[in-house]
Amino acid sequence: MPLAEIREGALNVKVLRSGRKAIVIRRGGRIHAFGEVCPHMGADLAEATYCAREGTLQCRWHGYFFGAEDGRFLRNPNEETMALLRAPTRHFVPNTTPRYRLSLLPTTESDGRLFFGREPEPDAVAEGGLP
Amino acid sequence: MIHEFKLIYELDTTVACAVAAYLDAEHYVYLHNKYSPKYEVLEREGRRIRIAQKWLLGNLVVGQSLWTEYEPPARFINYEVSPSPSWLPSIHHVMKTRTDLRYYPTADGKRTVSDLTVTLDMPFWLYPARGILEERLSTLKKEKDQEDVEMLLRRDKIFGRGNIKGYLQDHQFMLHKDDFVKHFGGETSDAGAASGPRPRPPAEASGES
Repeated sequence: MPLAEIREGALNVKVLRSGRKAIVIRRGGRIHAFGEVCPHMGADLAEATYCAREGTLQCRWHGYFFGAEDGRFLRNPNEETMALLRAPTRHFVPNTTPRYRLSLLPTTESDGRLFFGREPEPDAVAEGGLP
Repeated sequence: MIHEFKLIYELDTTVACAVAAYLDAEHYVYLHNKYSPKYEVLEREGRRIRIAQKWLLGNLVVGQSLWTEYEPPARFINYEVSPSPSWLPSIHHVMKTRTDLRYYPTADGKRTVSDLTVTLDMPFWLYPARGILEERLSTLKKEKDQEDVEMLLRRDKIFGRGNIKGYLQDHQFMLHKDDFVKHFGGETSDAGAASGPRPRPPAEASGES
């Protein structure tokens, strides 16, 4: 993926050879890449909302917020609107912070391109390395 | 005057997944943002909850409130729809709406039949418009179901068909979760057996006409 195509302030999506997508965020000169699957319920994060000011990704299915740099789960906005119903029960334990985290994709930068998954090799094209 | 109609079709998912998606209220205002961008819980009485759905009409926040009731394992009834704010011109001032949705498995147990009965109690002068109302409500239901099915099919692809483990985690909120776990907690795939009674078609359900 050409580095020049990775826009700051936007959610960049690269479809990899496997058919999966990489979610690429450029923030303050650094690039962060995540897998497309939301760790909560499996939504496609290519449809997430990226807030550059707050540095968050918000999932389209349930509205959960994740950090756009480290992928950590930040908050569930439904806790407020559903507060009346979120009493502890046998099978529901509120106030436990789930350990969700977006899967970080290893990347390397070389020759003006971003490579996913492994080091670029002279005679091999890394996944996602094709224009 | 009463106008009643049914909307019956199959959903390409298991009953457990269909029920989980219905009770997974956290997705209502995000996945279905187009239809109800605001959702508020007003009160709860056992298995019935009064909710408010709101949306923007110009600069005005308008919406409706209604009771939504769950009858395990797979029946959902909505009624007493009223406009919000109450002075808002709305068809709900003159028409009473009740919906009764049941999910039950297809004969092979691999898919779900969505069986919705809508009852509209309206004044005589509105009765000629019953066809339009039926069409609009049917379209709305199908569109929302399609969004849910797309979510469920993607989950099937990632986690395996019929996998409801994500919903069963202790921290995961669902409406009436204990009831759901009681009836579907033993199912992790479409081949799994429910620990409670299986949902049945209306004709077989006890106490139902």
